[in-house]
Amino acid sequence: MSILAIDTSSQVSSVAVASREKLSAELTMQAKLTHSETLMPHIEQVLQMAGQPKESLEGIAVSIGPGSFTGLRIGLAVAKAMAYALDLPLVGVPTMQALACHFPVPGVRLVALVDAQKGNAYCEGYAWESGNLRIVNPLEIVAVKDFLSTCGDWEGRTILLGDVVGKRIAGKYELPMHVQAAPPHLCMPRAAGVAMLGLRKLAAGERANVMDLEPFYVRRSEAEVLWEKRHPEAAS
Amino acid sequence: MFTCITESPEQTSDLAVAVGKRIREGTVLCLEGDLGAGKTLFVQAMAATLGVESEVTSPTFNLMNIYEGICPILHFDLYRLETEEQLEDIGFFEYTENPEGIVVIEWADKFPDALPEEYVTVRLERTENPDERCILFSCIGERNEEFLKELEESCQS
Repeated sequence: MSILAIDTSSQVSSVAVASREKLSAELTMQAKLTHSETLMPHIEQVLQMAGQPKESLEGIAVSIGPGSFTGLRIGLAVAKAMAYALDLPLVGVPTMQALACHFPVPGVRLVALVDAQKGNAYCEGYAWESGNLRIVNPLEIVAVKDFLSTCGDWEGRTILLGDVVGKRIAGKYELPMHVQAAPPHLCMPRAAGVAMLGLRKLAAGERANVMDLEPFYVRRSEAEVLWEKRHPEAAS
Repeated sequence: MFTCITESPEQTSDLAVAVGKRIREGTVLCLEGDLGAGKTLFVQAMAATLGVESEVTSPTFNLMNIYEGICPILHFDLYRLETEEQLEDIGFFEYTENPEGIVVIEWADKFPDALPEEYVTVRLERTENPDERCILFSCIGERNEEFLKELEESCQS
């Protein structure tokens, strides 16, 4: 099964053609160009590189956030239109889970930090267990400053991922010994990770509805309500 | 903070040119003033100075225009929006936090809590004379102080 995967949830624009056996082609770029201008030509290119006409695709996986509102909408619009026109199954992949695919090894806590503006980050923690991704810290919105001052208290090795690492952590903040920032090429979302999780979902029979699949925005206002529910002591 | 009095639309336009010549990339500029105060005229003159050749009009309905000049210029008009949540819907914060290029926001005073940490405010006020405008410049944050000082000096000379 060969699918097209798309991630435009961050400043990176990434598209890939992949199957369970191999990553046939991937085009990943972070060059301040707008996704709206580059995404379609990139898809055309990546299909050509993989030597696959679009008619030979068997599914589409798209990164659904949280992330850039504008970027997510561009990615979803394209994924849905293509799935509809080519009559292909479509699945949405949570962006931060796709990031965790960059380090598919057990025994490490992976914390994805995605910019939520105003010094905040969407934050979710994962661990790989027997080849499956498990959420160990459920999604919440954190002030990056507070997160950094407390991440040393955690036990075990931790790797930080996501655009917040490049924007606010790498080279700007000294992390505790057991906490490590992922290197730039493994920090940002890439379509290969989206493809990996998308293929699993499709194989498991998961299908999104082209007509009502929505980006997973996590509005700041909603995230704040969520946080207060989990931390009643701080909200009062 | 300082004030300039302009006596005609042409003079208001000249002042916007002076702003365009000195404004730094990465600046967020908030424009305040009633309908017809000259906000659009101000953006047009400033954008032209920054090398924009395309048409500049207030994006009252489409909410944001992007112009290509010597750097990208993002032009917001928040007149039609009612809640801060709608700003999230249009990705406002992604564009206004550490912007690439210059961001101009009309009716920014509707959402004071949504503005970035540093910005410049230009307030256009009418006077008793229909062609005259009292234009007030101010800024929040240290980053824009130097720009404002240069602008003040150019207005006095």
